[in-house]
Amino acid sequence: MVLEGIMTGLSTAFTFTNILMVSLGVFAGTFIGMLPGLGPISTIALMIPITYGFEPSSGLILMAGVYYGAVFGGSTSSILLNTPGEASTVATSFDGYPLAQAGKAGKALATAAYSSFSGGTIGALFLLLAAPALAVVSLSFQSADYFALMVMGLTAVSAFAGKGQFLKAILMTVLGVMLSTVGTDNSTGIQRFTLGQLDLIDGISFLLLAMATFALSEALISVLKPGETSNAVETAVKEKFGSLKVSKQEFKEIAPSVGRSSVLGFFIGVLPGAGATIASFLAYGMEQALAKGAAKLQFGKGSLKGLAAPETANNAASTGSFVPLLTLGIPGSGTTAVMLGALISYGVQPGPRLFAERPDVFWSVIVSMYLGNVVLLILNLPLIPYIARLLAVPKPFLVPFVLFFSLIGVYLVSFNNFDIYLMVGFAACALFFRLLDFPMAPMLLGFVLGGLLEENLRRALLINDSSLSFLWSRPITLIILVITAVVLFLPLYRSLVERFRFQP
Amino acid sequence: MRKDKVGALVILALSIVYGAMAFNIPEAPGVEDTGVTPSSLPIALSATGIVASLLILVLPAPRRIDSDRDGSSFADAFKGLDWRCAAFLFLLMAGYGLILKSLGFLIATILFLYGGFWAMGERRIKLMLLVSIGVTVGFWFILTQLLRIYLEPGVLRFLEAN
Repeated sequence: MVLEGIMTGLSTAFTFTNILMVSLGVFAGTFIGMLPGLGPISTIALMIPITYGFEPSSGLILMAGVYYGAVFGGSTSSILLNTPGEASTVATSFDGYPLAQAGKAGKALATAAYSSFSGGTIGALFLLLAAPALAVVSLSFQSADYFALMVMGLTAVSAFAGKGQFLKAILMTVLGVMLSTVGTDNSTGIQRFTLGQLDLIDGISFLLLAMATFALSEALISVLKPGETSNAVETAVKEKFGSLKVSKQEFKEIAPSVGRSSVLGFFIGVLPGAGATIASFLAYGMEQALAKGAAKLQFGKGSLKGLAAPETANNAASTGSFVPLLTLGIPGSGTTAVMLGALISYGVQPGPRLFAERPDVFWSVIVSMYLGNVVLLILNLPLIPYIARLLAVPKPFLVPFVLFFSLIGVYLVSFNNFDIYLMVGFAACALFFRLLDFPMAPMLLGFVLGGLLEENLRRALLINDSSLSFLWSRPITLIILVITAVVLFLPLYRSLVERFRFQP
Repeated sequence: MRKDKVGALVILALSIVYGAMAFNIPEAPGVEDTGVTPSSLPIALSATGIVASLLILVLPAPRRIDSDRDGSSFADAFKGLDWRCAAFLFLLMAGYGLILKSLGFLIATILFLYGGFWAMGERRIKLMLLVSIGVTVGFWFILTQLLRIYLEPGVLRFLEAN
C-alpha cells in the first residue's frame, strides 16, 4: 500500500508544471528566508496569497519548496551573516559563521545543504513509514482523544519554549485561543467579542494574524533594531565565499553525525511543540559530547560536524513535524501551523480522513516534501552565491516591499480595508510583545487549535451526555492527558524552583 | 520594572476585560444539552490568563534573566530603537488602508512604496520613483491582466471606462 501511495504521489508531483512550481518555491523560499529576521513562518505566510488560485497539488508542491527553501535560506543567513532568521538555525551559526569568516563560506553552505538533504531524506523515509501507520491508528480516535491531543499540543509548545519562557508561552497560547473565539460561534451562531463590528463576524483570518504577527512585525523589528547593512552582505558574499566543494574525507567525517542527528531530529520533530529548534540544539550537544580530542576543541570554531549535526536535525525535525499534521491534523509548531493554514487555503483538511479519502493528496504532500529537498540540493546549491547576492538589495527598498506584500496579500483575499487596519493593530501589539521577549509561535498555534479545541470538547460532551467522564474513561484520552500533565508540570515545577532560588 | 512583568500586566488587563465580556455573551437556546455554552471556553481562558499572568507578576524572576545588564528591564527593552522610522511606517500602512480604495491600487501603492523608501532613509528620488512605479505597474499587470483579479481603479476610473 505504501508503494502504491508513493507511485500516486510521484505521478502527481512529476509533471512539468509541478517541477517548475517546486523549483520556483525553493528559489523564493531561499531568498525570503535568507533575509535577516524573516523566518519560515513569514516566508510561507507571504506565499499563501500568491498561490491561492492554484490547483491544490501544485500549490502544495510549491509550498513544500518554499518550506525547505526558507529553512535553508535561514541557514544561509546564519552562516554568512551570523543573523539567524529564527531559533532553529541558531545552532547552525555556532560553527557555520566561523567557517565563513575563515573564507570557507562555500564549504559551509555546501555542508549545510548536504546535511539538510540527508536529514530530509532520512526524515522522509521515516515519514513514509510512520505517517500511514499513525493515520490508520488515528482513524479510531474520537473527539475526546482529539480534545486531549489539542490540550497536549498547546501545553507542549509552551513546555518546550525554553528556560524562563514557560509562563510567557502559556500566556501567548491563551491569547491565541482568545483571538480564535472572536466572531460567530460555529455551533450556536452567537456572536462573541465582535465589538459590534460587522467585519469581525466571520472572525479573524489566520493569514491576517500570521502576516501581522510574523512578516510585518519581523520586518518592523529590523527597522527598530538596525543591524547588518547590505554592505556586510556584499562583503560576505564576494570575499569570503570560497569553493563549494566538500572533500571525500570531509564527507566521511560528517557521515556518522548526519546519521545520528537525522534519527534524533525526526523523533523530536514528531513530538508536538518540540520541533526543529530543540532538535538542532540537542544534535549539536550530542555531537559535541561524542567528539574526542582535537575534534571536540574544534566545536564553535568552525567544525564541520558542528555544522552538519544541527542542520541535519533541523531538517529531519521539520519533516517529522509533518507526521502529527498530516495524520491528526494537529500542527505541533508555528511553522506547521502556518503550513496547515496553507493546506486549508487549498481546500485540503489534514487529518486521518485525508489519508483514507484523498490518498492522492496525502501522498503528493509527502512526495513533494521530498522533491523540495532534492531540488534544493540540485538547483539551489549551485545558485547560492547568486541568490545571496540578491541580499545586497538595500534595506530601504526591502522593508517597504515586505510590508507591501504582506498587506496586499491579505487585502487580496477579502478586499476589505478593515483588514489592513487590523493588521497594523496586530503588528503593533506583536512588536510590543516581541520587544518584551514574549514568544509569538505559541500564539499562532493557540489561534489555530482554539477553534478545533472547542469543537471537539463540545462533540465529546454531546457523545458522553454532558459528562466529563470521557476524560478518564477512554484509555487513549487518559494516556494523552497524563502525558500532558507531565509535560505541563515538569517545566512549571522547574520554572517555580528557578524563580524561588533567586533572592531579590 | 522587569519587561516580562510589564507584558504579564498587559495580558492580565486583557484577560480581565475579555472575561468580563465573556460573562455578557448571551445564552443560546438548546446549548444546555452539552453544558458547554458559547461563554464556557472564554471564561476558562480568561481564568487561565489571569492565573498565569499573576504568577509571572508575583513570582521572582528566574535567576538567569534577572539582571538589568542583560536588558531585562522594561526601559532597556525600548531604549535605543529607531522609533521615528517605525512609527512613520505604521502611519504609512494605516494610510495605505485609507487611500487604497479611494485613490485606487496604482496610485496608493506607488505612494506607499515611495513613502516607505523615504522613511527608510533613501533619498535618490529618481531611483525611488522608478522602483515604486515599476514594481506597482508590474504587480498590477500580473494581478489584473494575467490572474484576472479586479483591483480598485480609484481616481483612475476614467481610464477603465475607455
